[in-house]
Amino acid sequence: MSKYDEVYEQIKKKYYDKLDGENDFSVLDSVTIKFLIALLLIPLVVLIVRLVASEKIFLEFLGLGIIIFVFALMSLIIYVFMRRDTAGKESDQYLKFRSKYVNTVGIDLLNYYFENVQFGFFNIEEGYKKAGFYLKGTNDFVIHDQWSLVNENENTRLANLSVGKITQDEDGNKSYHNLFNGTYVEVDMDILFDFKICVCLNHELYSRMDYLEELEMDYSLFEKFFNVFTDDKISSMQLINSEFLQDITELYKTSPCKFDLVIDGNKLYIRLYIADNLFNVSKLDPIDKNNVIYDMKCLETIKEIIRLVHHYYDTNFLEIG
Amino acid sequence: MENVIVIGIIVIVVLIIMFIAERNKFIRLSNNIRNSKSSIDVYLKQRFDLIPNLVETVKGYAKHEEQLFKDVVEARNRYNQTESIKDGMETNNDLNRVIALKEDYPELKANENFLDLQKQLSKMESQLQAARRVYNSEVNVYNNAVMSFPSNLFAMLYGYRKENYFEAKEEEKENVEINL
Repeated sequence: MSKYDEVYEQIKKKYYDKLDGENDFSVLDSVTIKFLIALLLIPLVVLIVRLVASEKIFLEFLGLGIIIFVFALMSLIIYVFMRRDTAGKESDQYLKFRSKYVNTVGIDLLNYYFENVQFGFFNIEEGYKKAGFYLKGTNDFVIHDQWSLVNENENTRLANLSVGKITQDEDGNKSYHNLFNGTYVEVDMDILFDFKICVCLNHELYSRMDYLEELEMDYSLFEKFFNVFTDDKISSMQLINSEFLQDITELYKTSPCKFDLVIDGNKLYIRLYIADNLFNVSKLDPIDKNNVIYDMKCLETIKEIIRLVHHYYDTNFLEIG
Repeated sequence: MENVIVIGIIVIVVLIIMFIAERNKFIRLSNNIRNSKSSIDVYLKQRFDLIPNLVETVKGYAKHEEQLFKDVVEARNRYNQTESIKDGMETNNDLNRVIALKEDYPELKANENFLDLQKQLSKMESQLQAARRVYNSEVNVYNNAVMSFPSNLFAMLYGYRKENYFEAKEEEKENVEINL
């Protein structure tokens, strides 16, 4: 059993036990659902056969419309009279369970990789701006912070973010453009770099920063994914040696999400581009195994980036004196 | 007729701006190369300033390596005169050969002064490698501008030519043999 399977089974057991083993959230029972499916499928099959053989297509489609209407009417009647008594309660239970999932299963997963993570708030905008993720010259930014977490020492902070830009046209109509959706991480490292380096996906973002210069790397696959901007080219080259380039490129290829990172002083800022956000819960399945594994792999990506920065600082700066 | 004159003026202005912008671009790119070359020089000089101290330390242990010590001092003096990267890398090569003597004379490894010098030189070598990579990166950007259309037309006009990359010599590419 892989570690993903093990963690998934632990989470499933823990949270299904909390719901007294109940895991059926459907409004109708399974027999009724099968009956409804048969009710729709049989005439559909007949209709398709007749369509193939018939020349009067209009009449066949009219027949299809009538069947769909009758089906909708019967579904409504069945829903009213066959609805499970506990359906409302299960739905409430599910909503409570879902919020519990975000509150605690997400934290369980985080605690698997980081130490003692809990809900907490931190000044996201300040760090996000300092890292340079804002486009220079644009002031109207909106950050939607869905949740934020800090670990016990408060040296690792995470937040699920949606960042957008509001623009106004000549008529005063405002429109919202999404710039980033995903997870934002700040790490206070116990090492200090006296330069700033941005390993980023968006060329346009950093090319507008006057004090940062673009640095071309000597590894074509890395250059395909990333752009590097820095205020100290030699120190950046010292950190990002050929092994680092290979490792970060390999991580990018194997990670389920895109990422970019900024190192500034003792701070490491990471952005994971996740369309559906970390710890997203599907309404159809309370604990979807694919979601849990996806979340774990995203957290592993964060952990690996932190490890690589520390490792190559130790190798390329510390060990040589 | 007036329209033609206006369009003509606009075209001329645009062309002037283009000429100025391209000129400035090549100036900036070649300054970047000069800057990175001077960084290499700085690191090389810092390294070579340790040569006298290193030779004195090693001399007492490696009495039969007089020729090597002579070579490295001469190479350093040559570099100080020419300041060419080629001479610098030759001197660096000889310096690395002196450091590698610790494999032939194990007593050297116990000498504190030698260890301290080795640590300093390793740090500088790492910075030097980074500086060389930056240099090659700047040359690559510059050469792309010189060779790509349409900026190659401006490069020809202003007399900018391709620059050479910094390449390791054949002996540097060979593995160093360590006698255990």
